[in-house]
Amino acid sequence: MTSYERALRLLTDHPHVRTWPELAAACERARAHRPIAWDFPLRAAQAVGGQAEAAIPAVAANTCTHMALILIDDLLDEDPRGAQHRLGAGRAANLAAGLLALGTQVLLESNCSERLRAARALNDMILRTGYGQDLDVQNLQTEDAYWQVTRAKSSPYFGTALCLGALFGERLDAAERLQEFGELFGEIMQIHDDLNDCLAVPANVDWIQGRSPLPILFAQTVAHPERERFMKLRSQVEDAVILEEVQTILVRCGAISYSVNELILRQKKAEKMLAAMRLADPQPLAQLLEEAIAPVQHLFAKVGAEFPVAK
Amino acid sequence: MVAMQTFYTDLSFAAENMGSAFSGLWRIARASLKEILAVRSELAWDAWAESK
Repeated sequence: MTSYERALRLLTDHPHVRTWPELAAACERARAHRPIAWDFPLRAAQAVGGQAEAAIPAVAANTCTHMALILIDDLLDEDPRGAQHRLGAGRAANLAAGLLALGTQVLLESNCSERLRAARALNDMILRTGYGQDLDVQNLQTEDAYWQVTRAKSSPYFGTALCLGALFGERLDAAERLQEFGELFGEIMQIHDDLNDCLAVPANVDWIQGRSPLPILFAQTVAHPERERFMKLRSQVEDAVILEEVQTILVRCGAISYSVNELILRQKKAEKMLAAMRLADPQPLAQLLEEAIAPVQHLFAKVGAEFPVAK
Repeated sequence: MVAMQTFYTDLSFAAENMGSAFSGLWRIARASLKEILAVRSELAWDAWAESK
C-alpha cells in the first residue's frame, strides 16, 4: 500500500466518514484525484531527517483540506465542473465544512507529539485561505491587491503542507522556515496557474468573468501601445480569433515576460532559502524547485536565449 | 517583485542592450504566440496548475 493509499485509509476508516455517505464518496474520489502538493508533508519529513511515513496523517489532513478548498473555490467561481452542480450548493457547502473539520480531527487523533501545534497550523491555514478567498471574490484589480490575494489565498496551503511534515518529522525548529519556503513556493504555483489559465485555448473562465490573472493584470495596468485595444477585446474572447489577438498582445506587451521574471525571482529566492536551512536531506525540496522552473528554462531555450544564472 | 510599469520600461530598454539580464525576457516578448503555446502544451503547464 502506498503512502497516499494509507492516508486515504485513515480517512475512509474514520467513524464520521463511515456515517456520512457523501463524505465517504469524496474520500473515495480522492483516490483518482490526488491533490496538488499531496506529498509535501512526506517530502518535508524526509528533508528534516525524519521518517516520511510518520507524516501520513498530515497527508490525510492535507487531502481533506484541499478537497474542501476546491469545493469552496468552485462555488465562488461558479465553475461548471464544480460538485455543486451534482450535489446542490447547500450540500457542497456542508461537505466542505465536514472535510475541513475532518482534516483537523485526523491530526488531533494522530500520535504525533506535536499534534496540537499541527492542528493549530492547519486551522491557521484555513483561516488565512478563507480571508484570501474573500479578498479574491472582490475581484480587486490592482498590482498590490494581486500579491496580497496570492499570499493570502494560495501560499498558506503549500506552506502548511511543509510545516506539517516538519512537525511530524519531529523537527520543530524547521517548521517555521519550511512554512516560509512553502509559502514562497505557493506564489510560484499561483504564477504558473495564471500563465496556464490566460494562455488556455479555448478561453479560460477568468477572461469571461472579468478576473485578472497576473499576465492579464499586467496588460491592463501598464501603459503600452495596445492597452486600449486589449481592454476593448478582453471580454470578447469566446471568439477564437479575438482570443488569439489578445493572447498575442499578452506576449507582445511583455505580460508573459513579466510573469516569467516573477517566477525566476522567486525561484532564486527559494533556492537561497533552501540552502540556508541546512536540512538533513534537501533533495526532496530541491526537486520541487527544479520541476517548477523547468517550463521556464524550456521557454528560454525555445526563444534562443540563455536562462539567467543565479547570482 | 518588480513593479509592472518599471519592468515594462526596463524591458523596452533591453532591446538596445541585448547583453542585459533582460535580453531573454525581451526575446520572449518578441516570440510568436504559437511558440509560447507550443511550450505550454509540450511542458504541460497544466501539470503545475490545479487539476480537477
